[in-house]
Amino acid sequence: MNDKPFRRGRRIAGMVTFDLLAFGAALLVFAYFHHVRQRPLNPTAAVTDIPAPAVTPAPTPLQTETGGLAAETPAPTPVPTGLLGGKYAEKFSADEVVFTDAAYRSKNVALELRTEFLYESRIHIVDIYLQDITCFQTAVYDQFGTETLRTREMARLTPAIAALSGDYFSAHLNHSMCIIRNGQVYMDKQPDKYDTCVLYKDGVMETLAEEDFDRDAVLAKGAYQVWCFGPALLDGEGKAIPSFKGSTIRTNNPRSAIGYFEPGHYCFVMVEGRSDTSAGITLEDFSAFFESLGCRAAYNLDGGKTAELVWNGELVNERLTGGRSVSDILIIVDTEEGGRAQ
Amino acid sequence: MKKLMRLIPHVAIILALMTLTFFVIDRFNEFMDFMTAEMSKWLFASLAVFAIAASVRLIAADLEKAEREAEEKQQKGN
Repeated sequence: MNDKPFRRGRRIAGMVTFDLLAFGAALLVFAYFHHVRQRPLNPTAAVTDIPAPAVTPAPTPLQTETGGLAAETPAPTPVPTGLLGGKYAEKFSADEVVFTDAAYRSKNVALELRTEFLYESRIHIVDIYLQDITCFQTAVYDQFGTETLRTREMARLTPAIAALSGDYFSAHLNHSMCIIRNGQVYMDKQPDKYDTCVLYKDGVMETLAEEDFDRDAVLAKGAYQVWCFGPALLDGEGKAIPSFKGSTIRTNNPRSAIGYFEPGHYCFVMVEGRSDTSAGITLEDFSAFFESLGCRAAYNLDGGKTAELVWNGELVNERLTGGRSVSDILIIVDTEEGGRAQ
Repeated sequence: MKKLMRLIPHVAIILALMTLTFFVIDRFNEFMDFMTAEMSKWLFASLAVFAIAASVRLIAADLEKAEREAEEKQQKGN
């Protein structure tokens, strides 16, 4: 009996099996170097120091020509001159820190947490009012070793009152980008792919398309935080963008994003998704949502399993299938009061 | 050496499968950077090198086969 075809078939099957196993092993090796193994971050320089928020000095009593003090007039209450000035004064607490499940109030920081159900999704919003821009920080994994961490775990290592998953910039270091965290420059190249979001030291935030990004101008204006993920969710007029055609991430997904109203007033937004109770939101709906909030600018951060929101060290959202370790998170801290309850 | 030469097409197949996998993932989520990562670029370059090597080997084998057939034909004619 001629068993040549049989032997040939067996050889081919062996080769195919070998190739497939080698293919799987190669994918695993690639994934390890591409996703798991983190390279050390080497920030190059710090953008000039951020000035402390100015406080209007109490007015000095005027001296009369005769040398005596002018007629006694009640001393005017000092006008707060932080980022928001006297606006939203009712949100802040001058005397004592108030920290509940849904609000934080102190002299410089006021946060309000709420959850809405829109677009068939649970949307968590943290309304942020700050008098001092240094209360708005980014925690980066190299502060805690060289390991990426899940948002909650990283937030717990900081005095964060609220924390939002960031742009996971360490996964995109192959790209030319401008990356600044708390005034520290990690990369200062012209972006080659992403929209960029810049928070300046004066509290102004803007989103810039790749072609509009002027690296020198951004650095000269005093960039405090520069995030790279995107896309920008509102146009230059604060209007919703009707279509994100061409983006591969536009479909319903869990999402996180930051919104900007005016210097000192921002919001964190986290949308749950991929679950029976929350579908996730499209980029178009997300954009419309930020317009409805009244934001002037909004910027999409890393979503999917990465998207998480933390309040006082606890997750606000339900963690999606184990979550994902990230390189950086956006945090709100109270630099004067010391932060969240430990 | 001969064994190593035999491995060339297998490596080319594996690299090609990886490229196709990255291409498909990239269609769904370009932010994963599978097509633009530095490591991917080296993988694509390696694929090109192995594809060329496999092709050269195949062309050489084809030429050899053609020459052998021509020789056999000549011998039969004689």
